[in-house]
Amino acid sequence: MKFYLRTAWQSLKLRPLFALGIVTTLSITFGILLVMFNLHHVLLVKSLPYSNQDQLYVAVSKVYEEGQLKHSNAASYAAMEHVVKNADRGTFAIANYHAEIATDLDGFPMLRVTDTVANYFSMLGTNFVMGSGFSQDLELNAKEPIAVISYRAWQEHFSGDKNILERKVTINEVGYSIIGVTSQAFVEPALFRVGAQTDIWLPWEYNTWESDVREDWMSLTDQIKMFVLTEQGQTEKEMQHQLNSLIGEKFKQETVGNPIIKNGSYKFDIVPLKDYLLGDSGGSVWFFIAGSIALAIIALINVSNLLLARATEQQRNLAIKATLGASKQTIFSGLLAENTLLTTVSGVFAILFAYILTIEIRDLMQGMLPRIQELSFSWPALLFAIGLILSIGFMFTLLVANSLKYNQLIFTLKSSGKGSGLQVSTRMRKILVVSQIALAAPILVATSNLVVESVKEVFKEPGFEVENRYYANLNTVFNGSPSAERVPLINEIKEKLMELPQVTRVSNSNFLPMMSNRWTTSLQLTDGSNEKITTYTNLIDEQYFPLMGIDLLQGNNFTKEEIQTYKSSSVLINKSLADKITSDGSEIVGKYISWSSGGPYRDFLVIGVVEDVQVPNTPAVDRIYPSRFSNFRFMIETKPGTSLSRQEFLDTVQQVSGSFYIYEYNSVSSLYDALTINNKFIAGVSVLLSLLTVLLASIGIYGVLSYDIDLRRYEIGIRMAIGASPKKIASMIYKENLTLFLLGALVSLFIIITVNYLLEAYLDFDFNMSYLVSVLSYTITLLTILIASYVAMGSITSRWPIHSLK
Amino acid sequence: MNKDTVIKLEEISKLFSSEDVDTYALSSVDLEIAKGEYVSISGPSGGGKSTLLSILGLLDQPSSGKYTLNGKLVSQLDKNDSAAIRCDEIGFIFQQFNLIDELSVEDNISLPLRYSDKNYSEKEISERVQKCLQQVKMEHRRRHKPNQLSGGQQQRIAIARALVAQPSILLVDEPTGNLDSKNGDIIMQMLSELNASGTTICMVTHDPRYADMATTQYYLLDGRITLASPSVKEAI
Ligand SMILES: Nc1ncnc2c1ncn2[C@@H]1O[C@H](COP(=O)(O)OP(=O)(O)OP(=O)(O)O)[C@@H](O)[C@H]1O
Ligand SMILES: [Mg+2]
Repeated sequence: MKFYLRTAWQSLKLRPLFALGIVTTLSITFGILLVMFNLHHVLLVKSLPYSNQDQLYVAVSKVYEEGQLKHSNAASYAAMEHVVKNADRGTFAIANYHAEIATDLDGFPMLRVTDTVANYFSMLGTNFVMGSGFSQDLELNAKEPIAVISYRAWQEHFSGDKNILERKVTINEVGYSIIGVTSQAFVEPALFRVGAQTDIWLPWEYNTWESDVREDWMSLTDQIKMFVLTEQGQTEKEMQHQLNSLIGEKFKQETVGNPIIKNGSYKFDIVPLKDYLLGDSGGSVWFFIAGSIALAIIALINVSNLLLARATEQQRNLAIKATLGASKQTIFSGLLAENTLLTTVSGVFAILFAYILTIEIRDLMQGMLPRIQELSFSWPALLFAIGLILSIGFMFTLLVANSLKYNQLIFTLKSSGKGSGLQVSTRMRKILVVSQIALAAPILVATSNLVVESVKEVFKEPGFEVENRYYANLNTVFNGSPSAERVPLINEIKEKLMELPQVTRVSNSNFLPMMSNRWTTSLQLTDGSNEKITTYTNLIDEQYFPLMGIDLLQGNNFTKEEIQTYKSSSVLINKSLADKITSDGSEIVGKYISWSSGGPYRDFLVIGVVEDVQVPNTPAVDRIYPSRFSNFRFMIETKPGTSLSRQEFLDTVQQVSGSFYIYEYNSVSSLYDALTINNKFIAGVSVLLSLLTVLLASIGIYGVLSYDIDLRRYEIGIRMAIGASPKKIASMIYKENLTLFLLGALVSLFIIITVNYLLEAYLDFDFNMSYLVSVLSYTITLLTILIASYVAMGSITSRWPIHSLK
Repeated sequence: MNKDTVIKLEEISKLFSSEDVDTYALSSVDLEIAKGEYVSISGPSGGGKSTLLSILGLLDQPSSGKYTLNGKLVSQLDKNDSAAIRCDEIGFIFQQFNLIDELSVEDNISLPLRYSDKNYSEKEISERVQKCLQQVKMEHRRRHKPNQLSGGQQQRIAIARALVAQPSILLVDEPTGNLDSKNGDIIMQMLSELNASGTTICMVTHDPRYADMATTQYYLLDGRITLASPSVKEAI
């Protein structure tokens, strides 16, 4: 074997481009496949890191009105508590997710808080580096100021203090004694949203919901989640039945006469925890897998093409060996040695590449894909890689050996006196090139179209101003005061902010344009139909539209006086809603509409119509803009080229009162960027995929074409000797390769149409294909061919014919 | 220069430089070949015969010296112009036949006409191919592929291809090297007949029997050319 390896190494050294082509192709593809295998394994196969994960389920709330699903995954506080108190089979945990400021820690850090019950820790089998979880004696509504912190919070906010169990942390003026630190290995189930991680767990009763929310069965929130552990032998169905019979009648009774819902009902869906955590990310995983399989296909074609081309070249050598008495076995061993050498080197690079990629992905995709922190470079993946690499090497050898045929080898030599020496199968050569083009082109078309689609979404014009704008949400005891007391404070904060040299506008309004889904209200048509329209709602002041750069199309904005008197019965609406109300195109400004924010409907005067705002991934929605806002939320505009730091803002508001803390402070541009993170991610992945496709396809096409021309060197030499000029040789090769391109393009079109049809017919997936981009993809393929042809024949046509005749 | 001179070489040298050694494959070669002449070149292996032939055939450029073909200075022509001359003025016959596998006998023969800038019509091409096939007595194999023919037959096709553009000179390198003596004799017979009917030939051969068939015999040793005297011939 050592001999074979040495010979293989020597002969590969003579063909560095061939070896490089194979190693690059294989290591990139193997590397990516490996990572995808890992990702797939973590997301779809690997069990959750909880000992009884098979019995863990999430109870997903669903609220129906007149039998129609109205809210999905928005839980009623009262319903949740009712279940936890009354269910008897199984174990239940509820968790409320929010963020609060720790007022006694350096820099007032914002901690991610989970209010929960003792069962939470026992159900997940949580381990602790220090202390323990909540004692099982902790009653659901007991106010015992204790806290468990995460390993990360311990390191970050308490610098790993060894005496942590003697310390307290103050949140909303309550000092909580720390009783436990979770172990570093503990992975919390990210129930709230993908990648969500808790810094501190507090007893359930300390959640910040006001009493009216706790008691109103129709106060729905997505911040509360429930998960359950079934008893031994209890099925999913039985659990679901138990919960639904507990809640069904009760909810009906509690919501009779509630103005928000008519004939409401409440149901739980029992979803395995693993599926719940995966959410709809399965789709992305399959997208990556499809992408990497596509890459792998190109790679396999590349490599088999290169190997076959090489085999053709080696044919004569092997033939000589065969006639010298080399057995089938010996020849096979020689080939195997060469291929094993190539695949092993590729494998080493692939594993290295995959290792780096895994670490990168874990950092980059945090918050984009579930369970990503569990991603590691695992043994199954490594074994998979080694197995794959060895079997691919062996497979290739079989392929090459089969294409050679021992008996024909001897024949080759006998007949080698005839013709121009090497018997290169023209048909084989052509099939190689055509298949390369036929498969590379569709993949290129698919990936480049994906790139364009997602890039379009990323670069979509916002339709409102995002630069030099900030959004702040304050946390304060005054949140509980009547609005009459809040308004002077709000005005004072506005004035103080306006005194800052860089601030040009301040608005006290509820939501930024992209927070459109946070509050819906309904409005009743007064045209006699009594039809109700659900609209997104935002309470604003007179500064909101100018500050956000939203154009007033008709009528007027609120006046400052109107906002100050705090008695406005006027609203503005957006164009989309105006069009819906006055489908006949009549004037809406000056008319009254009937609007309710939960209570009875009242008449409001429409004083203006504003432009719709474009929010990424969200269709234009109906919006209504009443005034009278009185919470501590602010939008601030600064002069171009200046900024307003979090600290500067905090200092300013604390001049008004020391009891203001920042709950949320962000630049609008960063919030806007976060909206398109998924598009960026998909765009990034597709850019990467298409670049790799172009790279691999180019390597493949160049490899095959240059090998092809190399193999024909002698034949081309003859043609030149009998009078073909370099120009004529070039035009002959261009013509031939163009024909192959056309053939390949034809086959690829057929593939694209078939795949598109299948996707549409069976998966109902409509691939949005742009002709321009598709034509561009083909142009790239064509250019690759022309460039590859040009470069490959350069070594022949730029020299005197004698060099090709040796 | 005699107006019947086809080829005239003046002080042609060819230097091959590799990393450490410089080899003069040809040094200061003077040679004249007149129209209708049958020249043979022999000499030991490595003497420079093939090198000389490749310069005569414009397959390579001399390092120095002047080469005049039919009164035209060709030693400084670029690759495209050289190709045009090869096409119209020079016919090649190689030891390895050098037919193109994928093309039929007919197509192989027609290649020089198709590469020519003279724009031959299809009719003319087919007439000429037909005539050359008759000349080498291979009409019955016109649609065959080269690998369906014997070595001798392939070499006859190669001769037909060399003749088809009616070149002013045939350059022949060891035409019988890959053939048995019977087939070799047939090929040599054919060349003599061609010369008798007016074709100018320059042939490289090892075989003294065949060299004797030429009208003028040269001897090439270490890149220097001499007329072969009887004593030299005996030395071969
Ligand atoms: N491309 C090249 N590079 C370097 N040296 C070369 C090259 N081609 C030929 N030579 C050298 O030039 C000399 C003449 O070679 P050439 O092939 O012309 O000999 P030849 O007389 O045809 O020999 P043979 O009878 O064996 O065919 C030899 O010494 C050879 O090594
Ligand atoms: Mg020679």
